[in-house]
Parts: sequence; C-alpha cells; structure tokens
Amino acid sequence: MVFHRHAVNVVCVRSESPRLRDSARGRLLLLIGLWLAAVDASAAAELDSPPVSSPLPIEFQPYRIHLVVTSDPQSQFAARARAELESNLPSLLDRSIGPRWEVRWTADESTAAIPQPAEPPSETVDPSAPPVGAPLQPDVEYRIVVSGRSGEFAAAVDAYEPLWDWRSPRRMVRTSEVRELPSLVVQTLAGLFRPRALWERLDETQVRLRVQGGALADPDPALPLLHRPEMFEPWIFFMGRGGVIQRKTAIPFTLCVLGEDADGRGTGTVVSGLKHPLSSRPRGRVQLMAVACRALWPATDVEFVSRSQPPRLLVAHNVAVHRGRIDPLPEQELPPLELITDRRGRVRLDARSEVPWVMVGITSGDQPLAEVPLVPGAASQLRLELQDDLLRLRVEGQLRLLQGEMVSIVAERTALMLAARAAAKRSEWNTVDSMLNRLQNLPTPAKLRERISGIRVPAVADARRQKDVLTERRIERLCDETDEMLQRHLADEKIRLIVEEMAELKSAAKEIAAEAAK
Amino acid sequence: MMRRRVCSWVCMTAAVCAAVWTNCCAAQPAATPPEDDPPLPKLGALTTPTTDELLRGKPTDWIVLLNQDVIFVEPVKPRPGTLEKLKAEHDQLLKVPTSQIPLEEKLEKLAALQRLQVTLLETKDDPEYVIETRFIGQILHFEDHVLKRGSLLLDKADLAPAYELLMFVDRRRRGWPGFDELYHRFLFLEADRLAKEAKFERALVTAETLYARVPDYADLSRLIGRIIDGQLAHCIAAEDFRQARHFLARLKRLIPDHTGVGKWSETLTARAREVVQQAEEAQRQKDFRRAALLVDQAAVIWPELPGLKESHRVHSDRFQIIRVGIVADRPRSGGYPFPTITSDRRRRLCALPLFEEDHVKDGVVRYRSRFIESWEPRNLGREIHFRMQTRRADWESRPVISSGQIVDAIAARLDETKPEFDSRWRRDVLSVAATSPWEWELSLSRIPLRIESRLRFDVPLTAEVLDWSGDMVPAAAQGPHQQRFCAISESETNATYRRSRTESAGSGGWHAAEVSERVYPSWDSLLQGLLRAEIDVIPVVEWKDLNALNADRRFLLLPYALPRTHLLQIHPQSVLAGNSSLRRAVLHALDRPRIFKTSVVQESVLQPERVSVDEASSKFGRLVTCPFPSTLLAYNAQLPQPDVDPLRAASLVATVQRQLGGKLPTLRLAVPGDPVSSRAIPEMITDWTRVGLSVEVIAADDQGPWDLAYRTVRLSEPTDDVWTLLNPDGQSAWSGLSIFPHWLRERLWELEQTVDWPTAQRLLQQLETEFLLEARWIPLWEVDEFLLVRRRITGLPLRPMHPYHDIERWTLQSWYSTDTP
Repeated sequence: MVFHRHAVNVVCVRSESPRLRDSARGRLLLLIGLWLAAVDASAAAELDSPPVSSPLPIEFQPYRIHLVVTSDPQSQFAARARAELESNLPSLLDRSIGPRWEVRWTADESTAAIPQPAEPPSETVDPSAPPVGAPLQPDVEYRIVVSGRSGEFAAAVDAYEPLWDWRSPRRMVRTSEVRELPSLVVQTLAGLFRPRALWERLDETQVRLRVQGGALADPDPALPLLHRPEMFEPWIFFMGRGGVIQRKTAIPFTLCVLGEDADGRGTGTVVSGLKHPLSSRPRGRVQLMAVACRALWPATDVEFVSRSQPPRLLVAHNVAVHRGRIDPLPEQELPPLELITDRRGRVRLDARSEVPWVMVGITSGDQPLAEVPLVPGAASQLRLELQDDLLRLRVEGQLRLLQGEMVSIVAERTALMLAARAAAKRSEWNTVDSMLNRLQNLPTPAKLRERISGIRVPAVADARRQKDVLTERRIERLCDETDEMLQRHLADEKIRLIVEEMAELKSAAKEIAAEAAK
Repeated sequence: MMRRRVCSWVCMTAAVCAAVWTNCCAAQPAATPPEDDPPLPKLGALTTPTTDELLRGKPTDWIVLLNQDVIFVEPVKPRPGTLEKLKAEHDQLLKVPTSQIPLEEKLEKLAALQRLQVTLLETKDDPEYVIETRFIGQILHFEDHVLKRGSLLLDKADLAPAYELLMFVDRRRRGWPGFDELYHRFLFLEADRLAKEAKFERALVTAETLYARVPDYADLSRLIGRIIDGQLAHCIAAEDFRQARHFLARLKRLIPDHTGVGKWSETLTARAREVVQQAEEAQRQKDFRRAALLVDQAAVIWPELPGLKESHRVHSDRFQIIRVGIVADRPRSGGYPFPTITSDRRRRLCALPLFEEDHVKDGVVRYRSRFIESWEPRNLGREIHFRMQTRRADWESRPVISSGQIVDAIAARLDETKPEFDSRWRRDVLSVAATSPWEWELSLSRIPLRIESRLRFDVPLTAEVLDWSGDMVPAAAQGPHQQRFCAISESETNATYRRSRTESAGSGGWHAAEVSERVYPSWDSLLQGLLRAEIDVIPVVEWKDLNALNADRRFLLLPYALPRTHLLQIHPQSVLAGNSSLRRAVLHALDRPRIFKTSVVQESVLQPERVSVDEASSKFGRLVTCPFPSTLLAYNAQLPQPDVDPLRAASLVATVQRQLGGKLPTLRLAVPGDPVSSRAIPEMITDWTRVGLSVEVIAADDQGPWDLAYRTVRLSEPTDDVWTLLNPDGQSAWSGLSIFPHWLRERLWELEQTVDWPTAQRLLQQLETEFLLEARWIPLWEVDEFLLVRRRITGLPLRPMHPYHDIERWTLQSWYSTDTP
C-alpha cells in the first residue's frame, strides 16, 4: 500500500514539472498517473488488512512495531549516536516493553526527508514526510532521526499508525551523554504509543473493552500499556469479503473511559455528546475497534462552525469546559472554565495531566448547542459542526430587551401606585390624579404583546422558510414565555383596581368634607 | 430717655459755687451734701488710661474744672469741641433780635447754653447734673484719651495696638480732631516697618495710602524710594522682571520725577541689553533655542529696549517655541484606567500614525498619511498595494520608515505572543509582504470597512529606523512612539517637547520647533497667564469666558472638528454589568439636562427646578444618546433621550435591593481630574443619593477596582473605536466581553463583518439603541470645544481634529507684550 502511494506521489511530482506540463507527453503521463492513482487507491482500500486477523485472542496479540532509524548526514556526531541506538535500543526495548511489541528494524539510509537540525522543532507533524513503508503492515511505524553536534546528541521521533492514518507530533530528545540516548528514545516511543482495543456494547452507557496486548506482561512498571484512566475513541470498521476494510468511521463526540482492567479486559463507561451514541446497531460485517486518546499535543484548538451552507464560524459563543468525571459529582465541584470563541470560532484547550478529559459545552445565548467529551491535546485541531442558531439568538436578544423594559415598567408602576396611595392618605388629590394619569399612560400589556408578535411572526416565517422546525419551536417557546411573564406581572387588573380605589377614597373624602362644612 | 432732673438756676449756681469754693466735688447735690465724700482728683495726678481700659472700659470724658479738679462723666454732647460749640451757639443767640424770639424764651435758651448736662459715673442714684460752663476749664473727651494713648504707643513703635485704637476711634466717631495726623504717622511708621522687614509690596501699599492722603508728608518720598529699591532688587534677584516693571510703573505713576524711576529704568535697560547680547552670541554659536529664550527674556525684562523688536524677530523666527497653557487634570481616582485629556494630547503630539484624521466631511472622518503616497486596491480589494513617500518635506518632522518596518509592525499585530496582537488583524489579514523598500502589499481574507482606520497606528521607532533616517534628534530614541515630537522633559507643572527631526532651512520659512506646556492650577490662573502673555495657546477654553475671548482681537478661537463626549463606562466585571435594573436606575436617576446646563457649560448659575432636553441644548454642547459624536453619520439622531425619572429609578433600586437580599452595593466611581467632570460629578452623586444609590468617588490613593468610570472621549471611527468602550483595556478580544449577553456579542460580530457603509451604519445605530435601552453605557453629553491661539500663530487648520493638529506647519510670528503690567 505504502509503496503504491509513493509511486503515485512520484508521478504527481513529475506531472507538476513545468517542462512536462506543456508537452503532450507530459499530459499523457499525467493521465496515466491519475488513472494509476485511482486504481491504486481503490486497491489500497481493499488490500487493507483487517485490524485483528490473528487466531490469538487480542489481549495476547503483540503490537507490530516498525522502527526506522535514520541519521542526519550534516550532523557531525550522528553516526556515533546512531551506533549507540542500534547497539542498545533493542535490548532496552526488550527490557522495557517486552513482549508487547514485536519490533522490526529498518535502517533508512535516505536523507531526503531528514529535517535540518536548525529547523524548529519538534512538536509538529511534518506533512511532507512520507509514511514509512514496510513489507508487512505494522500497527505503528516510528521514525527516529538521530543527530549529534559537539556536546549534544538528539533524536527526533514521530509515529504513524496506518490503520487510522494518524500521525503523531514530532518529539525531540536531547542529551549531552550519548549513552542516555537509547533510554530517552524508549520513553519517547512509549509516550507516542496509543493502545487499541476491541469494544462491545453492554448497554447504553457501558462497553466491554479488550485491549490488544493487555494480557502480556509489563516488564517495566514505569512504562505501562494503559494509563489510568484511559480514554478510548470507538470506531466501527465495515469489512468487505475476505476481511478487508471497506469503510471506517468513528462514533462522533464519544469516548469510552476505561477504569480498571484485568489482563486487558475491562468495562468502559461511555461519555458522549450524543444522546444515544451506541443505539444504532451496525449491520453486516463490522469490527468494533477503539484507539486510546492521549494528550500528545500541548493543546487542542477546537473550532466551532455551523452546519449551514456556507458554514458560519461560531464566533463569540460561550464555551464551558468541565472537568470530565464518570463518577457522581462531588459536593464541591470546581467551577467550569468559561471561554469565549475567538474571531476564528476557536477555543484553545491546554493539555493538563490532572485533567485527562473534559466535557466541553457550547451555548448560543441561553440555548445549549452541544456538550462533548474531549481529551485536550489528543489532536492539535478539532472541528465541531453544530446547528446554526442565529435566528433563535436574534429573537432571544429582542425578547431580552423587551423583558428589560417590562421590568422597568413594573417598577415604575409599583412606584406610582405607592405614590398615589401615599398622596391619597395626605388628601392630595391633584397628586393622586397626576399619578393615575402616569399609570394609565404606561405601555399597556396589549401594546407589549403586539411587540412580541412583531418579533415572533417574522422569525417564525424565516425558520419555516429555512425548514428549521427545531428553531421554529424554540422561537415559539421563547415568545410564549415572554407572553406568560407579561400576563403574570403586567396585568391590567391592578391598574383598574387602584383607579377604583382612588375614586372611592376621593368621593369619601368629599363627603366627609361636605359634612364637616354643614 | 435719660431721666433728667431740672434744678432751679439758683440752686445749681449755689451748688456749683459751693463745690468750687469748698474744694469739694461738684457732683454733690446741694440739698444733702455728704460730709465724707473723697476729694476730686487733680488733673496733674491723673494718667492717660491704658489701651485695655480704653478698649474694654466704659467710655469716660474728663471735665477739668478751673481748679484742675477732674470730674469723670459719661461722654458729653455736643462733641468734639463741646465748650466751643456751646459758646458759639450762645453768641449766635445773643445776636438774634428780640423781635424774632420772645425775650423770656431767649433768656432761657441763653441760660441753657451756659450749662452742661452731665451724667456722673459711679453714682447710681440721680447721676444727672448740670454744670455751669464758666467753671469748666477744659473737657478731655474719651476719644482724646484714645488718640493720646495711640500716640504714646506710636512713640514706642507699638504699632498693632495703636492701629487698633485708631480704628476704634474711627469707628466710634469718624473725623475726630487729631485722628488724621496720628493715622498718617501710623501709616508712615507701618510702611517703614514693613520695608525694614523686606515686605516691600505691603510697605508700598501703605506708603501709597499715605501718599494719597498727604503727598508732602515729611520723608515720605525717601521712604517710597527705599521701598521701591528693595522691591526691585528683590524682583531682579528672583528674575521676576515683570513684577519689577510693575513696581517701577507704580513708582512712576506715583512720583514721576522720583530719582528711582530713572535709576531702575536704566538698570533694567542695561540688563535687557546684556541679555540681547547673550542671545546674539548664542545665535552665533548656532544655539538657536537659547537665543530665542534669551530674546524672549529680554522682552520680559525691558520691552522698551531700543532695537529689541528687530532682534526678537530674528531669534524667535529661527527657533519657534509654542507656549501652551493647560489646567491640571491629574485623575482624582487612583488607578484611573483611561488616558486623561492631557495624556491623549501629548500622545497625539508625539506619535505620528500611518494614517491620521484630517477632517470631517459628510459625517465621516477623512484620513491622510504622511508616510504613504498612494494605496491601490487589487483583486477586488483583497490585496492592497501601498507605495511609501520617498522624500520628506523640509517642515516634516518624521522618520524615514521603510516598508519592511511597517510589515514588521503589522506582523506584530498578527502574532499572538506580541503585546500588539490584535485578533481583528489576524482574522482579516492573510499576509503582508514588503515588495521593495518603498512598497508593500497587504493581502486580506476579508475586506475591512475602512483600511485607513485600521492603519491608525504608529510604527515604533527602532535603532534601525533612527539610523535609516539619519537626522532624528537623539531624544527621539528615548521612546518608541516619538516620531513627530519627542519629550525633552515632563513633570507635574511643565513639559517640553521638541521636533524629532530638526527643521532644515527651506523656502517656506521656519516652523514650530518646540512645544512648552505649562500646567496651571485653575482656569482663572490660566486665563491670567494668557493675559500676561506667558502662553500663546489654550487647548480647551472654558465656555463661560468664550464670548469675551472671542471678542478679543488678540486671540483666535478655533472649534474642533469633533465634539468631546462625556459618558459613564461600566466595568465588565462590576455588579452593574450583570444587573440591568441597577444600570437603568443609575441612568434614570441622573438629571442630565440640569447638570449639563448648570455645571458643565455653566450657562445658568441658578439651580433650575427642571430643564427639558431641548432647553439643555446649547451652542456649546448637547445631551447625547451614544458615545459617538453627533456630527458623524454613525450617531443615531432618532433615538430619544432617556427619561429623567427619579421615581422609576428609586423603584428600580428597591427592586434590586430585594433581589440582592436587602443589601445594595456601594458603587465605586473612577473619575478623571479635568475641570468639567469635577464640576459635574458632585451633582451626579447627589442625584444618585436621592434615589437611594450609594456611589463613592475612588480616592487618589485607592487602587481598587471600579464599577463606573467617568470618561471623556472623541471617537472618530465608531465601528473600530466601539471596542475601547467595551473592554477597559481597549483590546478587541472577545474574552473580555463574557458579561455581555451572547446576542449582543453576535451584533458586534455582525458589525465587524460588515463591508458596506449603509449596513454598518444601520447595525451601529441598532447597537446604540440596545446599549442605551439596557444602559450598558451611560452617555451624558457632548461639548463643543474650542482651541484658543494668539493671533501671532499661523498655519492652523480651521477645524482641528486635536490641539496639535498639523503643528509641524504652525508658524510663530515675532511678538511680545509691551503692556505695562
């Protein structure tokens, strides 16, 4: 598979040569190249080996690891560092990782893809680097580029998992003592490693996980196969005849959190942004695989966009980041981290070892749009497509303004009533009349209701035009709530009652005055 | 009315004769003369009463009989000259013919005029008696005693009690004989004393008083000469030549031919000549600033110096110093978070942005650039090609900035790790690249409404820029933003700024080379400084003196292109930000029309009961509904003014109090120190207190958080500048706006996304409406401000955008005050 990709790449590179582009020969080559690429891609998909093809139970299956070691030719002491690695790394791997990894070595003499030592580092994926080829498809391919200058030896390590087409960030290790280099490299290899597992649905919230190599011994307790807790991202592989993968898909916004395990077997708790993430039972030949989500990048930039056409960046939205927990909430839960998406619709979630995973909730106004579990640092970037809530948000804003006015009116009405009653006690009937006048001139509920309708009708029409039933329903609910608030706090009855009360008091006062005059 | 006892003429005569002949007291009633009365004191045995007795004792006249016995009586009438007056009246009556007055009556009156009614002291029963005047030798009146004591005190140079006694007499009976002489003596002695104590100004005032009363008072001229000598010597030593000239002029007015006049005139002339010579020397040494300062000093020392005018023209033209007077506006609250008017003015003097506001046309601010010659949009505006000015005019004070430095400055705005980072730039800009030293290109992912407004920043001066420019003064290297003028010295009372690039000789003549700001404690002292020719420019004129200054032909008043808006800004973390009812209470409690009329523009000194919004509009300002100038299109003129409704405010306060469990927070108000806000804030606090709101002004030593801040702003680009009103730090990050509801942030975002003017205007006006309805900011009023300059300054724009608009092109004509101080 990898070989064919290389071939296609070569053809493509040739096709971009200006010398050939202008010639008929060049065009022909380009067409052939494209055809070969198409054939190659489909063949590659079909030839993809199944994730689990061994007769052994998966817990006893070691990971096929392919190590490619290259050296920086411009580096003065690279050969020494490489020699140190080649002589000590196998035994060190054996002592540290043991039977969990089935390591195959390749000494790559090519230097084309070796980064220059002066290049900035390390924690980024180099997209130009081709995947490492191997006769047998490995589970993980590691490329180690060693270099050495006076007083410093370094190794750049990155990993590639063909099954998921996943690349790790590049990690650099540096040491002044060349003998330390193998142990540092082993630690780095283990740090970039992601265990994988088979999952099986137990119920809506739990899955059974069987971790590959989980039953194999851990020679070094400092480098365990699984972390605690370990989060797995569940995938579904749709297999064709002959056990080749035809399609693979991840269950979105879902993590399986593995607590305790025994010999690589354990129960995982499902946390998801979906209401029923495991409800749909995949049909046909499927294999349920999961891969661990580990914080390998320093942070994850989460980008929020709407599902509308064209997609709209969800800028200035509130994002609440809760610490992920599967146990019941303790009494004193830490307050969530409140963020606001920036002008690119993004928030940055820093990877922190004390918070292995988080629940990220995004709201539009008062309306929650989504709450999804994430492992900060598991990817450098992530894109979440959410419902476009702009129409409802505008209605919410207009109604909030109206509600603010209503609060003012209620306050003013109360103050005027009190003032009228106080004036009546003092028999200041002119003041009473003035207060009642002001009361009657306040905006009436009917007028406010008209304004609610003025907000509701065009918004609902817009939602219907967009065939957005959910938004329409939400707008209706918001308007209904405001209307209800209006009825509750601004009923005309109160004004009618106080006008009558004042009229009675006034006539009574007049009668008393008339009697006193007699 | 005093009870009188009338005795017969015989009885009285007998009684008096008995008193005289028996050496007994005349005050003994004839009917029952007591045998054991002490004898009357003799005049020779008596001394003048003391100051204390005179001031605190009972006023007493002494009647000295012919035998020198003294009778103590209450003050007699008529006075002064009692006996003389009685005798004169008696003689006059004698001449009256009997045809005009009956004989009996005439005799009776004549007899009465030969008698003096007295009230004896220390006699409680029947103290009233009548004494024949022919037995009285003299009457020593109480006032005479006071004056005599005063004279004795003056002899002993005890001036303070003497002055007290003099004033006592003056108050008691003005014009008493002998008072003037004694008072003149006192004045002379007092002036002498003050002169000896080197209190020359007071001494001169006293001597002038004496001179006005008695010009030929003995030795007075010499005393005045001595005082003037002392005063002028003191003034010259203190280099206060204006005061020296003032005293000299006073002497000249007082005694024109006094020898001191000529002497001191010659001294000052010589001094001025000497200074002019120093100026010439400095000019020869190319120290033009010193020459200008010296020649100005000579004009202050003796403006009448022959040849000064020509010399002044030469030196002050070569190095022009603009003297600006300002009123101290140090914020009254500690940690006031916003720039003051002074700091903003100084920033505008020093910094030179890529694009600067030039004028207002059709309700929109227009820009110009000193650095950029042209900018050409390409690819439907998504790319803009800028071409830099490659040459500077002689008058321009700016560095030479290459396109690389601009690209660096923009790149810093795109870099999250830099303090200049602006997420708006990062969103809108795809790339920026210098295509040559004088050309650069901006590639945009989104076309902003106005690229000029986004480029209103100044490129920081670096060592590279200074090297490249070659002719920048070393002081410009002290700060990164001193492209136009650079600070030479800054203090609480004075600040001096000089051109960052020394002007070279050109065909257009010389221009302003230095700005000297002088801080006055109050507007009145500033005005005094203007009239004394200490300053030539006042950045903001108080409205109460505007008409008078406008009528004065010596000055020119220029209205600013944009009014200044006063508003209350709410801190996003304050309790106010999260409580709409409380914000509305704050808004509706304020009687803005009245405060504006009485405290801000001070058009009405009375406190009117109610001022309507229309009445509040003035030729100097008006109430506003948003923080943007009402002259710009962005202002929503249709928006009605918020009501002044203390009743509603009080009710809202009560509602909030209930919401917060009965405890209302005290709101902390951060205030600047400018005079207008200082007048308005006490009124505002009174209004808030009336409705139950507790608002305290943050003290100068308090660095704590604030809820409300009084701000004055002049926002020229509302779509961009709105951010300065949302985030206290003026940054455009959303993270500071978490307190705003999402729908409001969405509106702001929508406004930012807008690319056409009508939509931007509509959205901005919607925002203004929503902000006002929710009282998210509290606009107060806007005032039209005026720049005052002396007519000697030319080259100013007709409607400046700020006090130092185009200052590099200002020209100062030679002028100095020849008024007699």
